Amino acid sequence: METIKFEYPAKQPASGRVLVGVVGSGDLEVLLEPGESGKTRVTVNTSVDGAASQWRALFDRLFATLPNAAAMNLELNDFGATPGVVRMRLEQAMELVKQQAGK
Amino acid sequence: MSDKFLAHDLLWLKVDTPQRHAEWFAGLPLWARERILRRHPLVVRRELAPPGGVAVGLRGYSRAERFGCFIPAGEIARRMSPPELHGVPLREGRQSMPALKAWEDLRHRISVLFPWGPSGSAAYELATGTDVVSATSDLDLVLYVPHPLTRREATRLLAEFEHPACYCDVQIAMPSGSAFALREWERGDARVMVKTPRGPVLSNKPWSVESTV
Repeated sequence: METIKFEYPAKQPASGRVLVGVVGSGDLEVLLEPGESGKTRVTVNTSVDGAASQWRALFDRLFATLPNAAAMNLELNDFGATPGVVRMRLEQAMELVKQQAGK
Repeated sequence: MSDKFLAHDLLWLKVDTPQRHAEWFAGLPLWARERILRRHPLVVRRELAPPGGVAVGLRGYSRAERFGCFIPAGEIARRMSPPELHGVPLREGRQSMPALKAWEDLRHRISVLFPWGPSGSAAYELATGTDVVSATSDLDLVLYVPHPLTRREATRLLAEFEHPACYCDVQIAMPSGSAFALREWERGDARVMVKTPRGPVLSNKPWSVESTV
């Protein structure tokens, strides 16, 4: 079990709070909450040790494509999810929070 | 041996498979070769396989020791599906592991109409008679449900599989060969992740996700 933390610059706090994914082999649970203005904090709790650089690369890429992303606290609980599952769960969380903001 | 192999089925190779497929065998990691020579089973993975092949995974001692490959269906000597593991007694003293205690309790208590059984570490331990489950292992279960479940039915079903000693991860396996987490469906999420042989997809109608074989 390993905990990895990252920070990225961001805009105003996100509105809304979402939870996607469940605790279970091969899955990824994503909890997305509004963050402190200007800052996105990512915490990854993972059952797979030694993957910190892969997670960093993934979030560097993700936030590079989202220069105007709202500030969020993202907590990920990883149970050995494949890269495809990780991508899908993150997209699902982002989409849901966008829907909530639009309401 | 033919028929359709489903994810989580346990397969044993023929004794002389390593000789007949020497090149394939030599390409496996050392720990995986050792497992095969000890006659440990392979676990069917949910992944498309070439014609006549089966996608399987090998399991070692640690989480890092996992290896996926394909085997010819003709090399399979024996198969055990998760529901068949109901017939395997727990070894002496292993009830101290919460996941195995939960398995033992649930299998005596639950009378659902669908076939179900363990997958993951509990299944591997039962099938091999070796200590694989740890004190922190969850209990992974697979339930074969042929028709759509309403969210209300899912709530009732999930309650059946609650155990105070251990977290139970119940996967609903559908006739298409795809599966999703009962807990996610029960929670009422608009879309759930369906694991198909072609990879994961999000769907609000998991039973309608096309069979991809």
